[in-house]
Amino acid sequence: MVVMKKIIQVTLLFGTVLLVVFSCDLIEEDPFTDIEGSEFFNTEADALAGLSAAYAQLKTGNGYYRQQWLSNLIAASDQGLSSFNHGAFRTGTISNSDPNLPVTWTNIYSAIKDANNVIVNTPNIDMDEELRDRILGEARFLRALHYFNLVRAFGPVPLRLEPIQFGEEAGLPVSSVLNIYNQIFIDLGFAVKDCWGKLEVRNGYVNDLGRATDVAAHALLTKAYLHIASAKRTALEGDLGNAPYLEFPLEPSRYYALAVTNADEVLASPDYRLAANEFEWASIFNADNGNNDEMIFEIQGSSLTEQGTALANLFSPRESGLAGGGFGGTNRMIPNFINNYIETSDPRFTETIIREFQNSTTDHILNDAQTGYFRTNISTGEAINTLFVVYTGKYIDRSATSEYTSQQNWHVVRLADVYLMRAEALAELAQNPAIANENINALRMRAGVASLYNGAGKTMDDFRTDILRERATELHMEGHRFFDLTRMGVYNEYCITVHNATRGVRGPEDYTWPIPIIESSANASID
Amino acid sequence: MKTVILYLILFIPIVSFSQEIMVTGTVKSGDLNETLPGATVKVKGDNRGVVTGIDGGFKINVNKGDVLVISFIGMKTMEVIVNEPIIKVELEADTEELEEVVIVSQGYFDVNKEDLTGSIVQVGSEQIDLVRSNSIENILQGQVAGVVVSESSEPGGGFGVSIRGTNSILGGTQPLYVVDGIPINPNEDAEGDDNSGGSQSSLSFLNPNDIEKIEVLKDAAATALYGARGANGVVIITTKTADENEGSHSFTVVIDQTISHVNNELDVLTGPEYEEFMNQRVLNQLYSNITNPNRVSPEIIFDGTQELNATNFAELEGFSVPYPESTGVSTNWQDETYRAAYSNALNMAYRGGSQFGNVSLSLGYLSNEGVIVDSDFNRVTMNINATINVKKKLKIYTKTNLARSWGNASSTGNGQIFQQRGIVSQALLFQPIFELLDASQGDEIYATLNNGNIVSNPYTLATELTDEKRATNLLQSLSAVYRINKDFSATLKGAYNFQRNTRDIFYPQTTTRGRLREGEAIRSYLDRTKKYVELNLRYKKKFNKHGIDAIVIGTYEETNDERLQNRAVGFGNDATSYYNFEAAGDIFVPRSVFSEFSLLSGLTRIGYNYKRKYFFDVNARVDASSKFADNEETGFFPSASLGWIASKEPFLENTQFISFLKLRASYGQTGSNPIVPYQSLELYSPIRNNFDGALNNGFTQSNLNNPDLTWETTEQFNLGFDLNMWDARVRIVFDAYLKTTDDLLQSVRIPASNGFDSYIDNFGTVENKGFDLSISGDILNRGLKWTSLVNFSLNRNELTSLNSNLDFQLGPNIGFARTNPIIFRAGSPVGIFWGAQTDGIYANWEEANASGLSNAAPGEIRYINNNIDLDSEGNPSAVQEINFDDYVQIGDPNPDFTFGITNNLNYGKWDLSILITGQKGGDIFWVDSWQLNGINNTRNVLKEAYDNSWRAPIAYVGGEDGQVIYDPTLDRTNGASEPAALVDTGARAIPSDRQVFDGSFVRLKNVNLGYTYSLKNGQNLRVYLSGRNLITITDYPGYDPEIQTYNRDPQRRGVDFGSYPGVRSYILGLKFNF
Repeated sequence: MVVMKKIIQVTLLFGTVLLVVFSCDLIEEDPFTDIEGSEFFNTEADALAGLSAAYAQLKTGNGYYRQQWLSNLIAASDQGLSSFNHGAFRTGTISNSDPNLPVTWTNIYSAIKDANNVIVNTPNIDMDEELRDRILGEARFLRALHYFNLVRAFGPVPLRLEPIQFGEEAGLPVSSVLNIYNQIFIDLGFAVKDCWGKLEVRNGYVNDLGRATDVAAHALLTKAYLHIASAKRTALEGDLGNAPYLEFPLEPSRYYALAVTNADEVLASPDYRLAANEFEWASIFNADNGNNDEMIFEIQGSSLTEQGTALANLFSPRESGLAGGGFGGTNRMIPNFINNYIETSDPRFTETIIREFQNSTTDHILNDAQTGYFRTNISTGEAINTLFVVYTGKYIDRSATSEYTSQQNWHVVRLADVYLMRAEALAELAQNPAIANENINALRMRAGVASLYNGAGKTMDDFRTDILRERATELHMEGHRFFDLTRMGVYNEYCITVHNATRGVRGPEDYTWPIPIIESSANASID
Repeated sequence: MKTVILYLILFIPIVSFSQEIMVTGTVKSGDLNETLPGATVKVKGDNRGVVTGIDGGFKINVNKGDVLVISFIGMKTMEVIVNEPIIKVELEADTEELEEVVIVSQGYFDVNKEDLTGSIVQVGSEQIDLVRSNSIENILQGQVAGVVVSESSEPGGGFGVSIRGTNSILGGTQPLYVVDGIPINPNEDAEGDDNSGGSQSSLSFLNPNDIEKIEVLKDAAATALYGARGANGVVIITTKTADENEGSHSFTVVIDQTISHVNNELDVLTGPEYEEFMNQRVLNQLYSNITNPNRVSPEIIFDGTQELNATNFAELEGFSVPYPESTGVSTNWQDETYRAAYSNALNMAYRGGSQFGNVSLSLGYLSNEGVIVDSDFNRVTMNINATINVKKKLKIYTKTNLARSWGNASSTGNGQIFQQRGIVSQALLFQPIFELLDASQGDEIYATLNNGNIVSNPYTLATELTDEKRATNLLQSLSAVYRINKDFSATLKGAYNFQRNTRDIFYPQTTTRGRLREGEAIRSYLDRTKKYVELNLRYKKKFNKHGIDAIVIGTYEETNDERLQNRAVGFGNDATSYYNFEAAGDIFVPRSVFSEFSLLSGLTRIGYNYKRKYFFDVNARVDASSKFADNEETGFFPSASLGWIASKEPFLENTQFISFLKLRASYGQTGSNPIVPYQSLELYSPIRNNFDGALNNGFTQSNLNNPDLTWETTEQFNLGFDLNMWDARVRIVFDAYLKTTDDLLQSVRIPASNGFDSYIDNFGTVENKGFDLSISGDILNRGLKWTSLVNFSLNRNELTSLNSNLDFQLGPNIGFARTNPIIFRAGSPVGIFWGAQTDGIYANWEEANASGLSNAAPGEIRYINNNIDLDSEGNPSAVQEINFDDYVQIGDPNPDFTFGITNNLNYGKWDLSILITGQKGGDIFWVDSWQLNGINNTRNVLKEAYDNSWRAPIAYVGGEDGQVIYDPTLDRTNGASEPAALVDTGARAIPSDRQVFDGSFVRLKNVNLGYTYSLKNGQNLRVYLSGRNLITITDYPGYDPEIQTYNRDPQRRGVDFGSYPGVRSYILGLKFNF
């Protein structure tokens, strides 16, 4: 048909016109605000930027060290209370749809992703070799820290060691607790070897304060070995919550010994030292004293725009001028914890809690028992009642302007923790509490504690109670307590004392939190 | 409208010279070049006229400058100005002349309605006039079968619009809007549309008074023209142009005055009732404690016989209730927050033409108060449409649409952190025992009753918070239509669309959020520009019995988005509001988005008919979108359709009752590319970091690449018929369809352990099937004219498969408890509600303990334990938990069917229009019911829920002794339908069937009563009284079953989370036609 022919001719003509006028690159994409994957990880600067991202992930999302992870740890322990959203943590009934888990889980794995990207991509970059090794060591340190956190909080979890490629989204099955620790030890082995010392300079490159150091890797190794050692010890004694640790091939004593070895490395380092005296000690928690000599690895808070942490607000009473405006005082200690598990005359408690504060209407003064605050109305002078919680003073930042502008650092691991871990491991190895005296007392003396510890003649059971008490006094509200209770097999006992027989019951399933439904529903390999 | 113009033509005096001449002329047919005997030649504005002779010639005496109107049956009428004494006229054939011609726009071109083989419904300006609304979407309500529009009572707020069900998840249900031939990008809030309370109407820049008609393209034969973006249906909006007739002038003024109220207030507790509720919490808790068989000490368990004293029960030591005496305060926060809102609108339009062309000018002003105090929406719209007849063969069309809107939005959005609730939620939940703040008070006085959180009362939120939204929208198109010859025409069209949306927010320290951050300001803007070029060639020819209409179109469009958000906190002083960031203590890094995407398309359509009885249309469109992966950019979207006008067949031609019958069938494919750009690429984004206070920024991998990312494709079959009976007194349009959408684009949740918890992928298949039925009839047609239109549509929707080995995908989280009550499950409708089943309330400890569930207690909700938890040895655990494994389907947001009934009556100068709309099914997940029916906390609750809640048989009497007495008459432990007020409640904020409500409703949507005065010279004045949402019949206990919280977020359909309350309006209007 003539008409059809004409139409075809016109169509062809038209198509040609279109092709000429609109060449193909009209539909090419150029992402202005981001870098395309193929254009990244090509240079030394890229490797450093990739590593900075891996550090930034520690505190970027709300779920990790910025906020929720910390509240979860406090709420899961016997220390006290966290947000109203943490009811199930208080009662030990955390379900897989608990609102506090998904973001935490997602943020930790997001941090692992950036560490994996550095670990996989950096070896191919042409750059200074010592710097490259350091970058790899730091990335491996971070990855080890993430998996150490995951395995202690969730138990068996997927162990992803390489960035996912397209087509691999189905997800990995969980790895056993043993396999995860094995990877942690491999990574920390690299970190010990490749990370540099504090402020060390090589080939003109400075190891900035705040980066993971070789000593930090030893400290983390100490924590990991001690966790395994005590968890396996209690599992052998019949603690069902620590049953996964029965997989570990060696006797607990071997792990205690490894903990000591690594702690020795930390103590031998000139880069970190205890405060010389109680006056120096008194400032180690100051907001402007981040990365001081007692701190081995810290999450970096800064007054730079958007680089603050929420710590001041999370732990200090609201409206008190001790933190920025905003929400506040989420994480608090309760009287039952203080009465039962803290040395209330020890300056490491008395001098690190908030003893008095005011908000616009009410005066708060700590009561004699140090379990709460007498409240009086400022304008009328009338007594109101006692608020039975105690706030820690470890995270005060008076210069913070809003809830995320605190320059307080979170102490992931600090020297005092290593001293206490060494004390514990030595005593367990020798089955002799007296051996712990030296390390425990080193901490007491530098803080001006009147009495010294003497384990001589005590049973190991007594010693374990003592070391937990010592750790609570030194390290309260620093995120270690939940793991101390589980690895020592006393989670149920301690929680019942604090939360009572109805709310405080903790079974073996409560030693770890359920993998959140957002993961298990999307991952066919996980129930 | 047409009559008005006719009057105008008749009455407007034509100034003329009295210079009479004799004109001689011939009339010929243009295409055949034959003379036309018997053609009518009339003098315009006059009754004089002659008829052409056998040679087509005529003679007539006229004045110079007069207009001759020459008409002939089957030809297009032509007008000629007399300047010369000899005139030659060529009339063009008009194939449509013999029927009543309805022109239907398909966006790129118009067709005669009778030639349609696709399913297209038209809503004309007459109907638009009867539904007095400030938004276009409202006008579509109930008018078109298959189109479901969810009311938005928020001025300028967003609507949920869906055509034939939900076939896209990421793309939502919003159809493609084509305004004056240009596919537009919907208006978007500068902060994004997916937040609750953040949505904005896609079309808020259009003034309904400027709309000539709206066409809704439903089936693939019609939507395939838009190929890549047609999958959700296409809505074609044509603004008014002037009448083609020369010398017609019309000037119209429309004035509307509106008053609106909240449809209904919910019955929550008054002050004294709330105090009783607070007291009852303590008493119920006491009773629960002392009857607990597991209580530790003392060993007495209360059974109604023991004395209630501190010796027996330590809990009674110093026992008292929080409100032994009433404070006497009783504030109805709904009354404080809502108001009668006044609005007025003024519209002026001039439309007129001459032989050089015509022009339509209109200006509209709208000032619209919201029913929430201090909220408003104002708009100025300007519309200029002109046609210029450059030459006989060349016409230029220009269309300009300019709109500016501004207003203070009401903060109805519920922030999902820190219990930061929006105004509407707070109006219900806020404690009635607080009064409005006086100058010396701050909202810290609310902390004790709000979990220690400092929250704002709804009135403070509404009045103190500034949330200024402004929008500018310019849509300009210019097209040139050149008639190459009588069969061929070519059109070149260019358009530019600029949208600027800004949003400026300031939270002063008198609000919760402002207090948290010492004042917080957020300023954002979104600039969206679009360039559009279209070239089209059309060939239209009739030879003998064959008709051909072929068109070839090429288009290129490019959209640029530029967003910037600035945020600062720590102002210290509220005085400078968001105007000055220098006052801020902390200025955040600006967040910016730049993106660009383009679409290159080619389209060929061939329409063929035989004897205008058998129709056959084929479409083929190719689209290339930059958003997809390399080599996956191009999509091919074909369609084919058949039509058969059976009533033209001899066997039906003489049938009495069938006056017209057309059968239609179509099949076609359309696509969807609703994703943001760059999703196929692996991306690294900047991320800020510091080491010991020194900035050290990095790049984090932010997007997983997806080299397979491609089009979402919808295949649609449609079978339908148009049937007119009894001389078209009854008109039936029926369409049945089956739509299958493949490669559904979705933000797919992947295991977060991969490092990403979601990415954009082609995710599964959705099927929608159903039918649309529309019956209209002229019931009376004498003195009283009564026309009735009934629309009915039914849709069934199923997610038939997922592109993975998983059974379901978890939807987004909702509410403060961050639960995930929506899932996408293969074999179920899209986005069903998923949660725990409940079965009443535990009466006592015996029942509670028998359940074995961890949080069971008297007065708690009895959840059904569908999945027995096992311990490591495979035995049922001693303590059972209610978690995700126990959940089942608890609701489905997809309506079973929807309908609309319009009745138009006309008697003399009176007219009356009544519209009733309704829906069956369509479940609603009401987030605030967690508190309002769940009696969970210290916030207010529904009175009905409280009155039916579990209640312990004890009472507080105060005094020295016997503070608490046992009183069995108070007992409501058995048969309570709602849980107890308790101090320490169990798991109440998990998603369960208690949050899901039936969204069925019938609503008297619109009534319009008008009276038209005819004035002299064809001028007239219509006065009308109109009402919207006058009566609603529904079982939904919230404000409004037409919910709108997430109407632009298709993953959260059916969720009511502090939605703007439904509004009833009364409108008094005047329309002058000069």
